[in-house]
Amino acid sequence: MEKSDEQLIFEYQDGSTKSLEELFERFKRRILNFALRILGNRADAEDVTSEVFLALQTKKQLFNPKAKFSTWLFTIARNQCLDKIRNKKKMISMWFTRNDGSREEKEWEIPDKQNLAPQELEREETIRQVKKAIENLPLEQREALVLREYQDFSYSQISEVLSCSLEQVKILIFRARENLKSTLPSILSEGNND
Amino acid sequence: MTDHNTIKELLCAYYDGEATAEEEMLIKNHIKECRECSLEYKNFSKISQSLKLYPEENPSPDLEYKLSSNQQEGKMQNTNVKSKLDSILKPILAGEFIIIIAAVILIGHLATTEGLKKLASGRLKSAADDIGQQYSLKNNTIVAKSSTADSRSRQQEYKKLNVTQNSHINSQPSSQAVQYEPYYLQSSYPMTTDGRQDMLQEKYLNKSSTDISRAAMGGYPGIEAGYESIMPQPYPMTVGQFNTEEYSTIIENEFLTVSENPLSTFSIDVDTASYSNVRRYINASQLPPVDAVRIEEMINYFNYDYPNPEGDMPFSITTKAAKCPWNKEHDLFLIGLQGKVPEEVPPSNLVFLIDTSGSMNQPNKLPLLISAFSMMVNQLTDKERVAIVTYAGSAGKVLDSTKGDDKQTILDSLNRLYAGGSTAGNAGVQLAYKIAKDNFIKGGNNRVILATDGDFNVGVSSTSELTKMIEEKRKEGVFLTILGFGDGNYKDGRMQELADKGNGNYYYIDTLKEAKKVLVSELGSTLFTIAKDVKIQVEFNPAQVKAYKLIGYESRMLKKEDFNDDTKDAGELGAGHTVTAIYEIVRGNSNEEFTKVDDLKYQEKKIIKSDEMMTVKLRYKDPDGDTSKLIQETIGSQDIKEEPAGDFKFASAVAEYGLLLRNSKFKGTASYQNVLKSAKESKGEDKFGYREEFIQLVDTTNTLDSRSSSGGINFK
Repeated sequence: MEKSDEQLIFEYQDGSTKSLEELFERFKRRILNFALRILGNRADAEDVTSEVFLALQTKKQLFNPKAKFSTWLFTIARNQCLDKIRNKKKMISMWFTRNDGSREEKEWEIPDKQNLAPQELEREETIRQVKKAIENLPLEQREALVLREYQDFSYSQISEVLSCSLEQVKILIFRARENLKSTLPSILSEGNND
Repeated sequence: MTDHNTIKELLCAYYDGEATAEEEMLIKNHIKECRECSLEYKNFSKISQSLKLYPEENPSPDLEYKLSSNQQEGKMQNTNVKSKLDSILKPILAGEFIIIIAAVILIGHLATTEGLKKLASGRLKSAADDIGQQYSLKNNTIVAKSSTADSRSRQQEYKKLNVTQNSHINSQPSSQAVQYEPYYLQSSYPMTTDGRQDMLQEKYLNKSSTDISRAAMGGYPGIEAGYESIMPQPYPMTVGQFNTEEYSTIIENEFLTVSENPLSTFSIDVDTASYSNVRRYINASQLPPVDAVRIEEMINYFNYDYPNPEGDMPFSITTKAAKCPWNKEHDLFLIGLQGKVPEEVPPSNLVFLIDTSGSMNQPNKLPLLISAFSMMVNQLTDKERVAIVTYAGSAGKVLDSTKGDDKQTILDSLNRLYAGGSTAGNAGVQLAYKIAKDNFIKGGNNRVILATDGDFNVGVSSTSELTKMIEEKRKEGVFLTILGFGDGNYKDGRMQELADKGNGNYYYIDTLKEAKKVLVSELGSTLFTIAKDVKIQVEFNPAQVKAYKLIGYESRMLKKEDFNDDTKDAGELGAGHTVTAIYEIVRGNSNEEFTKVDDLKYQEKKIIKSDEMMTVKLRYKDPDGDTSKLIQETIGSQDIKEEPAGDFKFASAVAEYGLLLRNSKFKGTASYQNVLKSAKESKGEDKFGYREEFIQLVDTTNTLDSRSSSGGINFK
């Protein structure tokens, strides 16, 4: 049977490097995509991901045996993201913006858009809108929603990660969705008339 | 009725399955009546669906690399005594520090002379500086440690602890931003590092703090001249750069009984990286990790004098058998392939034009480029001529046009490259073309291979002017191939255009794998590859052979059914290449016991009587073919020599050395002395001194290896 995340971290605390590897495998993609959605920037998200896994190793003893591992790890990830945002504010990130002011796209695989079929183009456009909509959400709403929608976290897990009350989580997620509704009207309009 | 907003809020939680039972009831009832709210509920799932469109992204190769080096560090921390030592040391030192602070304050209070006060404040200032530096470093470094770096880093930490109060309970000692250098990049690590390394090491031991801080700043720029003669071999790491090398575990082939496993199937392997990597370690006075030792690559590093193929055959097969030098009960059996050197391959005149500007100073640029070119150089023959031109602040000739079989000279000059300065692309292109023209081979393959990240920024760099020149040169018969390196290649279009105009191709190289594919397989295929997907299958005769063990090739093993499956990929054979595989064999009349499996009850094994020992089958495809061809050869039992001779002897010496380095449980009576003796006796002509170098290497290893029962000198 597959070991639980918690089992793995306990084993790692006892010195099993195999378990650490497994944890890396399980979570690297999740953390990367979480950070990507919070920060909206690939380079920063990668930085954060590597910081998170570094922290996992240096702080492994701080893991509370009663807690859920994913909650703990995402709390670290969230804090790293906040650090990143804070540091970003201090710097004027001129170099990373393009002429049109948009943030840099992942530069290492820009797809060739000329060969795309019309449906594909439309899909691309929707994805772009979704990305923008998420990016434009207020930070806390974004955090809560991303954890809910992409990481499938329960409200209580989210409240732990964001260190706020359950009630607040409810409100954050609700407001995030309301916000998305107004920024993504095209998506909602389809098929509503039937 | 509850107002819509409250319901909506509840709806949201209800949608996520987070509503209480009471709320659920309320909502269910409300939705039935209220169209607006039921629409709202549907909207939630639409939002979810559209959010799911945001594609999950995979970690970039760069991140993967960072993560794996992180992990490596974690492993070391786990197994390291250091962390434990530190935890004891730190409190003590911290305590000491508090006393120092107290003393300084006391002195400040008590002293009446200005001098003492100044002294104290100076000290505090430098402490503050150190803290600042540490922080600025901490942000962009991932620090990994090696056991060898431990003593140094501890020293450093000691120094820091004396000047900084806290701030680093969890922070790592970081003397320098660690470059991510996977082992394959380091196998041809630039020599610029080694001279500094050794000169620094002594001073390090002298504990001169200024030296330590200078080392942290990146070494001694002044001492670059003249170090080549002092230290001809690359050293694995620079000061403050920690070992993050990783090797996948090799599970050594075991003895297999012929009755149960009559077929042994593997793919040929022409790689030689392991040998140079081992050499790098030994020359740095370290034993390589056992998993870095791939014996087949070590054996194949050397060229053996097998007969040239006759007729249409792309390669010849040589088989030899003799008594095993490290186990008198066993025999060795060698299979050697010699690739044909086709007559129709035109001679090549290649000029490597390498961008060494500052922007290339990233692991995935210049070091990757050097590794990639080194691999290509290994494939060159005396038909090729190679020159190297670099362009940075100014264009320079690093290597005059040299024959391709003088590999060491070419590799040495590759290893001398380092990145720095801005890019004068134009001057470089001009110089490269001039060399290409000066060494022009009529009817040959005259080509400039430009490797760059595409950032031409000094001098006349207008694309149209460059392309005009390149077009001209093409008419003169010099072609251009461009290799793009590094991510974020913004000058993509320019490079594409240049290559197009130069009648050449443009490749983008991000990983070593890609480099190998492009440089060795694709670029090479037009020049060098003579057979692809070469697989070997040996069927042993149980009457003659009881058990066998293939030495090396652990990562190249194939399933027996893969042999006849043309879709299964295998190794390529280049023109003039030799490939060697060695089996250790236990003869049928041996008393050794291998199997613990009972005889089958319902099946009877039928052994066909035969004097043959084995049948060697080979499958290969022509370089442009899709279906494989089969070659068979049977080996009789009569011709087993008393001991290996000539090239076979040398190959078996290399195998024996490999077993010793791996500390293999099958090494028998192997010893470095035996290896030395056999290697010296079978050195032969040794045109380029590779075998002599091997002998030196074994000699050095002999003094290094103090593992018990290794056959090496034991100093205890």
